[in-house]
Order: sequence, then structure tokens, then C-alpha cells
Amino acid sequence: MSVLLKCENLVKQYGNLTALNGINLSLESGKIVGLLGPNGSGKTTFIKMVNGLLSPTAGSITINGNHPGTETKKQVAYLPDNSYLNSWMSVRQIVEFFTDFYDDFRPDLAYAMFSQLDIPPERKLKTLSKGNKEKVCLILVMSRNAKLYILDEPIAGVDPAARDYVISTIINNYNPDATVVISTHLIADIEQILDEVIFIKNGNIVLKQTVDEIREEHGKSVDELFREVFKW
Amino acid sequence: MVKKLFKHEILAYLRVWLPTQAVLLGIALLGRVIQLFETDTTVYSIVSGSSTITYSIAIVVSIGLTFIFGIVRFYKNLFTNEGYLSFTLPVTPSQHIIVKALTALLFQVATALIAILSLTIITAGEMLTELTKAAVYLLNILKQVVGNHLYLYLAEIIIALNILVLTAFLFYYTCISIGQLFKKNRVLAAVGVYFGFYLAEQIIGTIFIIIITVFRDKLPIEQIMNAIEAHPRAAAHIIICGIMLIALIGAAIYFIVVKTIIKNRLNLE
Amino acid sequence: MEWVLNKNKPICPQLCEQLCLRIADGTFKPNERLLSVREVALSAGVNPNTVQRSFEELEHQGILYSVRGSGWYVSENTHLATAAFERLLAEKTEAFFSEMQVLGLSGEAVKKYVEEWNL
Repeated sequence: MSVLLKCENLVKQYGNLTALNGINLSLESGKIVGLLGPNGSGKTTFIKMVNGLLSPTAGSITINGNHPGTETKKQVAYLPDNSYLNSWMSVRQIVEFFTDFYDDFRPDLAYAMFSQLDIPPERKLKTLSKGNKEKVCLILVMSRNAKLYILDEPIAGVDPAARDYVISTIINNYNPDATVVISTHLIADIEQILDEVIFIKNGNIVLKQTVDEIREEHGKSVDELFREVFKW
Repeated sequence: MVKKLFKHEILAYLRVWLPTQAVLLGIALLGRVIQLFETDTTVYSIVSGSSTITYSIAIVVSIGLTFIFGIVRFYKNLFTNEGYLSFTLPVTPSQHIIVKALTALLFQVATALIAILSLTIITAGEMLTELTKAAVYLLNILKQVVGNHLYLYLAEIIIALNILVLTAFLFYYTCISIGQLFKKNRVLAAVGVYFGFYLAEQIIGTIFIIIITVFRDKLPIEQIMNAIEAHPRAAAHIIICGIMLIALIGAAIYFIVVKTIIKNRLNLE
Repeated sequence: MEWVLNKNKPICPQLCEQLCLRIADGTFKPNERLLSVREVALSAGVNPNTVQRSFEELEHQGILYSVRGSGWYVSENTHLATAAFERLLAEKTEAFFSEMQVLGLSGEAVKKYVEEWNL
């Protein structure tokens, strides 16, 4: 069990708006962690910084000891909440793309999952339904053998049956050497697979506990506790 | 990793570029075939005239579209939602920029070459032979005037053109990147930046002319003119290389600006 | 395989209870290989670490044992599982009767109803 993600006094400011107010965090490998908070809490800012899409105003962030850069991008698999697919590639072409750029990508696994969902490799990405596009994005990310997975709202735009598929995929892909961070609003559907949760509010971490500890201490589900903590 | 970036960049271009070039060559071929039916009728004049016009438009469109694609591709692949994929690849911002700029240049050159090919198609036969003879004649005259330096000049001019095209792309990339610094309406902002540069260019150019006109007497204009007359070949080399150098410096500055913006100020929607 | 999990309580103990149930009712037999951690995690839709902890807890109690490279097996001490199951049964029954009492239903009426219950 090693520390995979470490943040020290991470701050992000836009002019006089503070999105992250000095985050201190340490995530171990082998955990599935929920990053929970309302819109504007700083979740997206934090996620972008882990992925090197935003640079900190102050503080540091390291993944396996490296600051966000080309080395970390080889080890981090990111599922953004919008589709990142372009309009003209086919499923096969995007698989080739991932195979070319990521040494840890497993095309056989991807094709197996596509065939489970009846998505033929020759299909053009733009002809896929919204739900299928999201599944394709998820499959591509989960087919990587990464050290850190960041899933931003993996079940939000997806029907309940597909949510079960997403959850099964995450469980199936579980790797004790890797960490999965799931950022979501839909806590009730996902709390079963979480080891720990982090509540983030106004750029600060207000809670970090294992899920069973929460249930033990508060006698509530994480979803219920969330509603309490973030009541308007 | 850079090789793979090039591969995928080229693939992205080909799917749009190949059809347009095929259409251009098709129009050229059609134009040549029409000439086979040459008669003295008004019908023929109209048809062949239209064909020539269509061909001319096609060449302009081909070159223009390739150029525009080079700019749009940069924006779409890096600053729309595709950017979420592009910027999480294990690739540095420099690598992204260099690959995009060089590929844009590559296809612009390829488009020019295909345009020349299409010209040989539409003039194939007698007309082409005449054209070639005229071109060779022109080259010989030039050789007499310029001496053996002719090939050197041609090489220099080709290199300079390539650098100018590269710098042009990097300039547009800079406009797009500066537009990304705005919170909303980033594309509009980029257009605004473009006009800003244009305006600045005009102002600086005017100031320059005013300075030269006012200080006409103090500047060594006569000496420069005499020197050029005395050593025309050297002067030509210096001017061409001077342009190359200025363009290169411009390219370097644009590159640094784009890279800095991407590295420090990237904020995808 | 159906798992009944209440999110308001820690999942790990609930998994332990229901595993004991399956052992007590003979679904999982002694010295037979239990499902893998992954299989249980998938069918219950829970975190594999939680399943791992449940297995380890049951191993600690002597109800399961692990064989390196092979997986988890049910021990012969099925009486321990039955005891655990009976504790669960007692707990649930106690809770049921308390609730009925709170609602004002007499113990006798409830017992009669349960006896005539069509299982």
C-alpha cells in the first residue's frame, strides 16, 4: 500500500476567486475513493490539476512522486464528464489511437467490452447514441492499466441499467496497485463500491473517512450524510 | 511519441485533403477532356470557358481550404472537448505545437504540388509542351541575367516561402491561443486579436513610412540604392535571407507565446 | 446470488452475516471453494476491499480458510457459521417483535400470524 496521490497546500485562484483553498490530501493505492461535493465546490478544478490541465497557484501535487507532466500522464487515466471523442473516427481507430499513445492500454480488453455491448469496431463514433458514447469513453479509460483512474461523473448521463454496467466494469477492473477516484453527485448509486469518501466544500476538504466508518459513526448511508453536510 | 503525433495528425488531414485533391484533379482531367471536343461553336466556348473558370476556382479553393483546415484543426483538436484527450496524452505542449505547425506546412506544400500536377493535366499535350518550352526559355534568360546563382536563388526562395507559411500558421495559432485567455467567446476574441495585430501592423508600417519620409535626408538611402545597383546579386541574397530571418524570429516568438499560454494558462471548458 | 445490503450500516459485517447464512443453509459446503473476492464483489456490487475484509474476518473467526493460489474455502466448522446465523436470526426476530410491540400488536397475535404464515 503506497501513497499514489499527494497534495500539499494546493491552492488555485482565479483573480480574487479562490477555487481551492489549500488542499492537503494523501491517497493510497488499492482504494476506490469518492470525491463528493456540489457544483462549484472545487472538484473539477482539483481534477483538472491532477491531470495537468490546470496549473496550481500555490502548493504541490504529486502522482507517484512526479508533478503533473508527461510522466504522470502515462500513469493517469482520465474520464472527463463530457465526451472527448472526435466526430470522424471509428471505434477501431480510436482504439488504435489509444494503443499508440499509451503503453499500458489493453486493446483486447477494450474490444471484448465493446462486443459485450454490441458495438461493432467499424462503427463511426458520431453515429453512437449519447449513452453509448459515454460507455465507449469509459471502456477506453478502463482498458488502460493505469496507476490512477479519475472518473468524473461516470454514471450521470447514463440509464440505470448502464449504471450497473459501469459499476461492474469498475469492480472488474479493480487493481490493488491502482487508485480510482470517482467524482459524482449520484452518491446513492455508487457508495457501495467506495472504500473512502472525501467531501469537498468551497475549495476545502471537510471530511475524509472510510465508508464503513461513516456508517458506523453516523448510522447513516454516505448519501444521507452528504445531504446533511451540504444542506442549503 | 512525436512520430505517433505526426501519424495521427496526418491521418486527420488526409480524410479531408484526399477528397479535395481528387476533386481538383478530376476537374483538371475533365477540363482536358473537354478540349478534345474543340469546335468553333458558341456552345463549345461556353462549356470550355466554364470549365476553365471552374478549374481556376478549384485551385484557389484547394489551396484556401488546406490553409483554413490547418488553422481550424489546431483549434478543434486542442481547445474544444477533444482537448481533454489531447492534453492528457503523454506529450508536451511543444510537441503538440511543432507537430501541428509542420503538418500544416507539409500539406500546404503538398497542395501546391498537386496544383502544379493539375496544371500539367489540364494542359497535357501540345499546350503543356508549349508551356514547358516557355518555362525553359524563361529559366535560360534568368540564367543569363543572374548567372549560376539561379539555382541558389530558387532554393533560397523556396526555403523562404516555406518559412513564411510556417510563420503564418504559427501567427494564427497565436491569435487562437490568446483568444483562449478570455473567459467567454474565445473564438470571437481570437478574431479580435487577429484584427488587433492587423491594426498594429498598419500603425507600425505607417509610422515607419513617416519616419523614413521625414528623415529622408538623414538616412543613407542613396548609399543603400547605390550599393544595391553595384552588387545586385549579393543584395538579392541579403534581402531574401533577411526576410527568412525575420520570419524565423517571428515564428520563434509565436511559438513561445503559444507554448507559454498552453503550459500556464490552459483552461478548457 | 442475492445480497440484501443496507447502506445505513457498515457493509462488511452485513457481508459476513450473509456469507454465514449461505454456509449455514448448505449453499456453500465445507471444504468447497467459495466464490472469489471478485465474484462476490461483482454480484453484490460492492468494493472488493470490503469483500476481502469480510473473508478475512470470517477466516479469523474460523469459518473460512484460504489456500495460497487457490482461493477461499469453507472450513469444517460450519457450526460457527450456524451460530453466527442464529445470532442474526435472534437479532432480527427481537427487532421484529419490538417493532410490533411498539405498534401495539400483542405478542400472541403476532406469533399466531407468523405460525400461519405461508412460507
